[in-house]
Amino acid sequence: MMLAACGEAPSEPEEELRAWVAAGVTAAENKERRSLVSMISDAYVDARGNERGDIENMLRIYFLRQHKIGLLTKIEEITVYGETAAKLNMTVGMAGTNDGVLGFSADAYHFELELEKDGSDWELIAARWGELGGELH
Amino acid sequence: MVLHKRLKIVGLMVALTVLSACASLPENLVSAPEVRLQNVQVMGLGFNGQTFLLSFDIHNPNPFSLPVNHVSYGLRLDGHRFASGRTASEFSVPAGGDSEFAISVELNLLGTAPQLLSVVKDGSRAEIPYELEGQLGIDIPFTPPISYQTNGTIRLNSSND
Repeated sequence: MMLAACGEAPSEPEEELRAWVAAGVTAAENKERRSLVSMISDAYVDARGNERGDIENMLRIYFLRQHKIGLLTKIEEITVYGETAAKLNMTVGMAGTNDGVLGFSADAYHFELELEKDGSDWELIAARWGELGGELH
Repeated sequence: MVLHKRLKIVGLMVALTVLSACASLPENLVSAPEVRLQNVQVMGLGFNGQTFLLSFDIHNPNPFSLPVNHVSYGLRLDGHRFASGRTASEFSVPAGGDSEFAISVELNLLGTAPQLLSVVKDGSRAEIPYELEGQLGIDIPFTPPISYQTNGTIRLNSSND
């Protein structure tokens, strides 16, 4: 009855993907770069030409530039293909102190993530992102 | 017994010193890149407008590459405000390495800084002091820009040089 009231229950892959996002957010907020990198496939490549190592480099700079990280995420859409591939659209806002002029940044980005299941783990294989309302690339 | 107590106190002090040193370590460990004005090319000189090509060298002292997506700059020549702006420019500066970028600017010095017209006209004859400051936009979500500031001297080149 509860499920009927709340709509269709999420599928198992969808639940796994939500858990994957939650784990990523926790790792980011704790500045656990290695944990985040372990969620990225060795085969990762994106439209910007980044590979896994480039993303790790970005994470390193991001963590060095931020004193404290607080992320707000909203999963917009999860599409699962054959239970081993998925596309995930999400909006991420950040409230964290840094050394910017105001010492505070609170803006939002839209991320489109592509994931593949490797054994029992989902791994990021590609991503596009852009400021909210802007183009993704 | 007294010695044992003193050793404990010394140990505690050492531990506190180490902890306080850790606590005061700067979290922001990204060093500002060094940006230098490498060349000012005079592309066109007229009373109604002047066109310049500003070329910059950039050195990244960090042990990781810096992906840049825009550059803002403010340039003073011989103590006078010469040009400022922001340009979308995507490039990456390798870890411990160098890169370069160029910006074309169209100015009306007669209206904005008439004192500079003669400086620019004679610029190829002497070294002109410059001050450069601005910010490099980092192509990483949520990452604030990195400021840079430098000064030096520059000799102007005409496009015919």
